[in-house]
Amino acid sequence: MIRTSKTRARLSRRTFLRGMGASAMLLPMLEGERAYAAGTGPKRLITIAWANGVAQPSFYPATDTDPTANTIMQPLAALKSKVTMVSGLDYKVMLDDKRTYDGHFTFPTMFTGTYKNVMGQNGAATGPSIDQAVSTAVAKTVNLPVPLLTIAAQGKSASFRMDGSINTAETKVDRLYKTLFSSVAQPMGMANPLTARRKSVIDYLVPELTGFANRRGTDDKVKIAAHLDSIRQLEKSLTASSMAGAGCAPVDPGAPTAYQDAVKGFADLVAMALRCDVTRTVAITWADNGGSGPYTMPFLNLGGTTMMDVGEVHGIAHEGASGYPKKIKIDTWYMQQLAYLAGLLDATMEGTGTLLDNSLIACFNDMTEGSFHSINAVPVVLVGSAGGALKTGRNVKVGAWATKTGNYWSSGNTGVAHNKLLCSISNLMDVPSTGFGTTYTGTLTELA
Amino acid sequence: VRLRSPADILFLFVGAALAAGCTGTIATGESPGAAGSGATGIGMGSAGISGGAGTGVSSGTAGAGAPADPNGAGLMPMRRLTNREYNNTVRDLLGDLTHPANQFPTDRDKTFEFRRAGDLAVQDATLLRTAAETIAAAVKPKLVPNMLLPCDPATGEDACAQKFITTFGQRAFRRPLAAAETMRLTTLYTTGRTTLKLTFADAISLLIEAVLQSPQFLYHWEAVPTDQSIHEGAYVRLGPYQIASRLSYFMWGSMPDDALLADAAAGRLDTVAGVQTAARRLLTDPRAKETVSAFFADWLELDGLPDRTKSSAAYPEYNAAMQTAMLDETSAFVQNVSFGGDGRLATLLGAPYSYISNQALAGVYGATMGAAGQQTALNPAQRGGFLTQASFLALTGAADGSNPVRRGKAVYTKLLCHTLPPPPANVPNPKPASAGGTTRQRFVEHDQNACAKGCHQAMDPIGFAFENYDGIGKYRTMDNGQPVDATGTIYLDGAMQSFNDAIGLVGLLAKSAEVRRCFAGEWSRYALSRLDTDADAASLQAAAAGFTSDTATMQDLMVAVATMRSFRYRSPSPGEMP
Repeated sequence: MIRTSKTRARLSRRTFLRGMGASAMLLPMLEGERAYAAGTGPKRLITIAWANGVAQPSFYPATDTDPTANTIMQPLAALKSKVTMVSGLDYKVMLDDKRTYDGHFTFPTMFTGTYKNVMGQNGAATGPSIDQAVSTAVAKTVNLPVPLLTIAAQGKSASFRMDGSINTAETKVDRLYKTLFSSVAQPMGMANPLTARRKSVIDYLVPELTGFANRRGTDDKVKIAAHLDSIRQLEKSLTASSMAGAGCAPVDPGAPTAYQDAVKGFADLVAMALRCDVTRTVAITWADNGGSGPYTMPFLNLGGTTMMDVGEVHGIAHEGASGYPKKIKIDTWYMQQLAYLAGLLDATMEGTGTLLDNSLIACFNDMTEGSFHSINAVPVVLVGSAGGALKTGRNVKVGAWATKTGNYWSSGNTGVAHNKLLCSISNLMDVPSTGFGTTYTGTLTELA
Repeated sequence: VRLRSPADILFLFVGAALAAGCTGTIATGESPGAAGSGATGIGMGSAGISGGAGTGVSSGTAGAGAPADPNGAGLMPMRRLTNREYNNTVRDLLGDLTHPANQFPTDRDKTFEFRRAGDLAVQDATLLRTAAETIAAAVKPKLVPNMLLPCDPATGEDACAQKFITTFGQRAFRRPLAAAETMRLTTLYTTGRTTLKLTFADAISLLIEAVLQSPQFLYHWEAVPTDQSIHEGAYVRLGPYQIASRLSYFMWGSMPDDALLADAAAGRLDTVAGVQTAARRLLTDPRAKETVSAFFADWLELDGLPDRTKSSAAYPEYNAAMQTAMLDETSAFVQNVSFGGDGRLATLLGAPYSYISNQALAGVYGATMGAAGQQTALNPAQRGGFLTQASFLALTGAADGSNPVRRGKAVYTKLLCHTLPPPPANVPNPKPASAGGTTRQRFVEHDQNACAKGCHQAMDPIGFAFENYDGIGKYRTMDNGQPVDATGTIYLDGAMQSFNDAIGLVGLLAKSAEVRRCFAGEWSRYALSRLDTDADAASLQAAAAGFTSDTATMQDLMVAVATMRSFRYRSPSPGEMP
């Protein structure tokens, strides 16, 4: 059968994915297991890591009832009833190790609630990030083609595996499109020669890896175990299937290379992957100045005549108040990207609500302010209600911030451990948790 | 500190962390390898700012504590092929010239100076699979006798497959296969022919695809599985094939050739003399030149240059093509000095010539462009060696001018192997050029800021040597309307020494025993792919000893590193079964 774009548009999503050969071997069998109640959708979690703090006076709202009531947050105004800001969370597990100004080094801690000093300022995670923990729980009941989608537009991943090792991020939009939607343009299942071939290679690799760990030292065994775990994941994905969902119609994004195009291209693919139920857990890094070199945003025209005149983002953040006019442009742009992604999800109806309603987007910055890299009172924005589990449309102020007036935080250690929010997110996502990360247990009661 | 984003270096080093530094008692406790790495100080306190990660013995006081154990050798953590090693290995194994690993994530490791592949996550496994599938598909036309097949399948396909498994397997695993390994590959071949109904060539291609994803190919642990570890006292001597791969990956960044595998099989790598002979042979291969370039690029972090944006108003000629030309120049320079030139450190640090085959870059030097590989004479009053080359100066320069802190820090950390404590918070930036005054005047003012003096006394007086070079390395005598002052001081070999400009500085560095020791230490860590520990002290001393003389060459140093104890032995790993 020759498929024209016209006939294809009428194909059911499942047929489409079959046509794409999306590893749908067990599709008929799993479909029944994966049906969810009408009027609802599966819950999705998206974490977003961004960097260099915010221009605080233009970020925090003056009111507790509209989290978007300030310049930087304005792009989210149309979605304000679905936005939640949490003010006053500290990366406390790092503060406890006196890493007061190590904002560039928070990526391993940000979504894991763990910290281990490795060398100098470099830290490491000792446990999973929330996206990994949720993804692992989901994988126990559903075999999704991509259980956890990890993306970085600039810098490194903020997603960490159960053993604390980093989840390497996808960095290319065109490649991600292929991974998500057209990795196997062949017949489905083991009838697909490529799937069968890959399975035979994996059957070869598993005993090789197991044997390779024999007699090896403990550290090497851990490395091989991580490798084997990754191969097992590839194996599982060979038999994964995805379900029909509203608006699943993948569009080839091309190969954008400019930073702003990549960020948007990733957002489009994430939204489509969620609609198509290829994945339910996504970890995005927008930028990580601690994990990579300098970067610029020439499309924002940040150049001037000073030493920082190339508009280097990190340099602008360092200027503090004198850099605010440019920093506000940068921060606002990022909130535009958040609004864009959230808007895509909100435009997809699922039962009586939208895909956004069934999701939780957790957007964490790596530090408070770029001028001094502090890691207390870090900017946290949530969008979506995880299927109605989270009460939204608020600025939730916790710890010392609860009694604070104004919109600027300099330094200190008087906030609440961000572990509590991670624990809350786990529970909101229906992954029961009494504590996330190390040291600090319990949920963030102020969210209730 | 070198690991922070480069722009951070502008934001100076003061505050709580440094308060201790000002009194000469800076803590270095959080760094492996710090023990025994006695600080040479920076002329402002008894200990000054030194020690810490990676300085190890190279800080200059090896043997200050307990005498180095001549039989010592540190651990040998299992390493995965770096991206460069992967590219080179598939090139030498299968003739693949597509550099597939350029699609892999960066292997820059924030906790180490040189490249090192990280743990293998799902994304990595996916990319390795894609690469293996692509390579194996592309290689199919070459699966014929006298190319990649050691036999003619027309005379018996299964026997030919068997022969392929043995010969290709040995090259891919860089050692002979154990019987069980051969058997599992045979099973895969059979699956290919029967279950998957593949043609002979496609089934061989399937084997290649699988082998390229196997741990034996991807990791450096080239011991035959059935061989016992060779224990000698408290340490383990590496097996012959492990030595062969260590040698070839150090010298070539690639797999051993057949001759080296034959050396291993014949036991010729069991002695220091045998390793030395093999190392000298490897140095005659062009792949060794490329390694010297790769070392300098990693060591000086030249891969950061493409991210180094500059003011287009100040440097309209600076663009991606010029960045490439700058990197090519330094690569050609270190190769030509090390192979064909006199190979001496004094030449690397002092040569009044370079290899500039790009017109725009020749303009930066005010020189005449030469043909590729042709020496270009430079003004000896302005240029001497790689520290005065545009690649280094643009990398360490500011967007619109010089940057004495970055430049001083590079010399301080890389040529002297010192480390710095983390920069503290809340230090105002130096004033912009629009505030008036030369770069130096503005930074001097900034450095008087409280305890900023501590670190800046270490870095800036060195960095001022480069004030004659602007943000992309052009020579200048005026800065912001005033004459340049490039005089400075450096604490070297136990004494404060002064210089008039960069030419004076590189002259001091070239004569310094401390710099030689540091440089030998950097090469040692590069070869070991890890920081040195106390157990490696004797080895690093031996490597440095091979580079002590003024007339010692880069090649001498590489051979000394390849023959040191820690290159051939290791400590048993915790948890390891004998």
